[in-house]
Amino acid sequence: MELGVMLAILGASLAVGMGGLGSSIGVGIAGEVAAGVIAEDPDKFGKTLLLQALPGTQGIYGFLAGFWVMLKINLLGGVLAVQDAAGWQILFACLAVGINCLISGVWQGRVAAAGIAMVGRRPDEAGKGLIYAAMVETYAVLGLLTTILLINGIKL
Amino acid sequence: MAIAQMQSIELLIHRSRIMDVLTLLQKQAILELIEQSVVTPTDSLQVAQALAFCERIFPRQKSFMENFINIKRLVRPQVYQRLIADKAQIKRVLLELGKLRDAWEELNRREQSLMQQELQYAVYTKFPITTKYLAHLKQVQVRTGLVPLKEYRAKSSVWNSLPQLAEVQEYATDLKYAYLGVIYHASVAEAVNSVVAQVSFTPVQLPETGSLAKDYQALTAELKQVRKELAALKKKIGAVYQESGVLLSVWADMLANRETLQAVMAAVPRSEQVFAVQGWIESSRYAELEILLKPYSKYTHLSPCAIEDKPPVLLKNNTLIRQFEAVTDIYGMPHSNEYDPTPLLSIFFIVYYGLCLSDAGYGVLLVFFSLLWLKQYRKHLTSYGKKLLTLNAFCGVSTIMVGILSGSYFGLDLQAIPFPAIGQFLLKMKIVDPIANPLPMLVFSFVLGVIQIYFSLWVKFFLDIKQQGWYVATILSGTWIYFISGMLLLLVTPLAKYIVWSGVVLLILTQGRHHKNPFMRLGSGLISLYRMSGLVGDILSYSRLFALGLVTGVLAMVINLLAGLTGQIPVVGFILMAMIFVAGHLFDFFINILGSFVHSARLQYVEYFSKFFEGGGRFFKPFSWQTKYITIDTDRK
Repeated sequence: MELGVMLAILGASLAVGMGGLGSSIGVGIAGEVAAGVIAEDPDKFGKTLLLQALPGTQGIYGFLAGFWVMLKINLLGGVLAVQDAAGWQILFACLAVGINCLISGVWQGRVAAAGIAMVGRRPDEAGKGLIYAAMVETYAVLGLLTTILLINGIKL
Repeated sequence: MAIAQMQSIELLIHRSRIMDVLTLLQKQAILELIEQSVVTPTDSLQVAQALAFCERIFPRQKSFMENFINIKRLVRPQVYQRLIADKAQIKRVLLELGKLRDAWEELNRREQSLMQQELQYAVYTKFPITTKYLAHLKQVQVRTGLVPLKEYRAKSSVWNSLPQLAEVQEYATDLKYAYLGVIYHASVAEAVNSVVAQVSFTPVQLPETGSLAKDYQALTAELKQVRKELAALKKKIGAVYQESGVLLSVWADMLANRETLQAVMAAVPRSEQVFAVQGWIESSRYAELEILLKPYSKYTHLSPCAIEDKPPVLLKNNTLIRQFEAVTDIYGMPHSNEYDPTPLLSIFFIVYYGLCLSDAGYGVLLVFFSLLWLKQYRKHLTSYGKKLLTLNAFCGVSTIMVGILSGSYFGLDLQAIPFPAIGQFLLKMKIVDPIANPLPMLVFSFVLGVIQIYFSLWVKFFLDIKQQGWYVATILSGTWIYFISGMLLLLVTPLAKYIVWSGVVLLILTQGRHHKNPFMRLGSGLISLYRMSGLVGDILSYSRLFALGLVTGVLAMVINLLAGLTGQIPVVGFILMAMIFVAGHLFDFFINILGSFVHSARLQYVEYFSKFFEGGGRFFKPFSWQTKYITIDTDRK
């Protein structure tokens, strides 16, 4: 296999991997706190579940970026020829979503966890917790956006 | 932009009618009392405990939706009145449940202790000797006990150091322990002790009995009997609960509300004869309260009064706009002297939501689920829940429209669907393809941002006119509108640069007006230009609309692709394909409605509200009937 394709695949894997890593840590942190809140009051499951789901989006963004790369080089049908330079470009483009999702996933998880703890005491304010967590997500969205636009601009 | 006008009132009530009047107020939920804030509702003890006891033994099976919607027992008003009237019955039920509960707990304790004994006997039976037998021994002593098996194996040499007149016997081993007896002559007791101390030897005191096996049999028989009794008792409790569950729930809620009422009454300031209640009421309902108090006119006196505290806030909108209060409520209420931003965000919110979800198929799902749940849980939804679901139904419609315009139907490839005619028809209505050509949609998102931010400047301008007059408003916000309008016109004609430059000068001259020192004025004016970068940042934030829309669409495509791949597997392929298709799209749908709502709301709160809206008001919470267990079902159908 030529280097270009390999680099593109590395980019896709990094995007999916780092996004998934950020999300699994984030959802994990939120889940731990949620379990604690549920131990006190199982009726709050619905609200805590919504908050726990929020840091999960980074994994999806990473996955989408990875998929975008697959579409770009047509990995699922006959692979297109990718020049080495283009491969590097795709790899670098993937870092935008990867790094953003890795870090923001973890922090969004922490904010969501704090929101869940808040739901434990003031269940009516769950909506505010959701918004706080969404504030962090902005940067993951921007990362995904950048990666997609960059990849779109790359000539194979 | 409506906030209900609030009126603070004072209501004097003669002590002979205080209960009646407070009950009336609680039932009508018309007045927010000053004293109410000091009261925390408590569960009335006896009934609530009885209910909790029954629920502990017979936990209700909850559906998944109940995690989101609080479902209480529905009770018709007639039934409620009948149950509340019958004091003898609740007393009888409580007495009976009390007895059953005592019996239940007693039996539970016995079961626990028998189970404990059973565990001990499992240990005793490992030893072939009994205390009775040991009692015959005079010169010889036996120490029975257990040692962790691993340690027993590893330190087997320890036992070699036992004195001559002693020996260790291994009676049994299981996975964890070795069961040992150390037999020794009384004269070497000390030497034995020091040897035994080298291992973690847990002594076992054997029971004083003739036959372990017989005792054990008796024990299991008793345990069986206790369990039988428990099962019978559970049946009895179940029967009582089945029959009186409604009765208990009704009384629990009634008593809790009465306790709240009594706590409020205790907090109300009073003279010897008169209670003085102060509170807030919607001005428009003042007359209504007067009419309600008519029957007590000899004993009450209602009058407007001044209360130093800031009035609570209640939003008043028409049926359409009211649904959008679901967004405003999360942010919090406006100040009592501000305006309700709900109508101002409505159209933006609905459009943004549609762009984020962006798939006609999901739009249909959203409308379907919202209406389904509205109908199914109509009686159980809070007013907030109803608003939220109705709002989502609206947003479903906007999502369908966005989906049609972008040609997205569950992410399907319209060229390849089984009915080409339909595909062609749908394709004709498609005007953008965000996946093949992302830029136009991105630009469109920014345009929406510009529109909303520009609009927010005008809103601020009009609010300033209302609050501070034409002159201040023009200087404060008018200059900004002039400047930004110039920037926008620059897109049309280069001549607008004169507006922009004059705008810059105007801003530098005006924005520092709160400073006295002329240099500080100019400096402050210059710094105010920095706000421009904030505005640009705000507009960039709208790119999320495009990105989230893309996320939904691409994820839907991926799901179809995966489903298509499994479809090629022989035999099970079709089933797998259907499963992946349904589960995948439901996942994409739910994760994205969450994101769409939250991000559309965020754009209102952070980018939009920050330009003209402060918030921080207090919700209007009238003194009212609160229930935990029942919902009075006034529905005639």
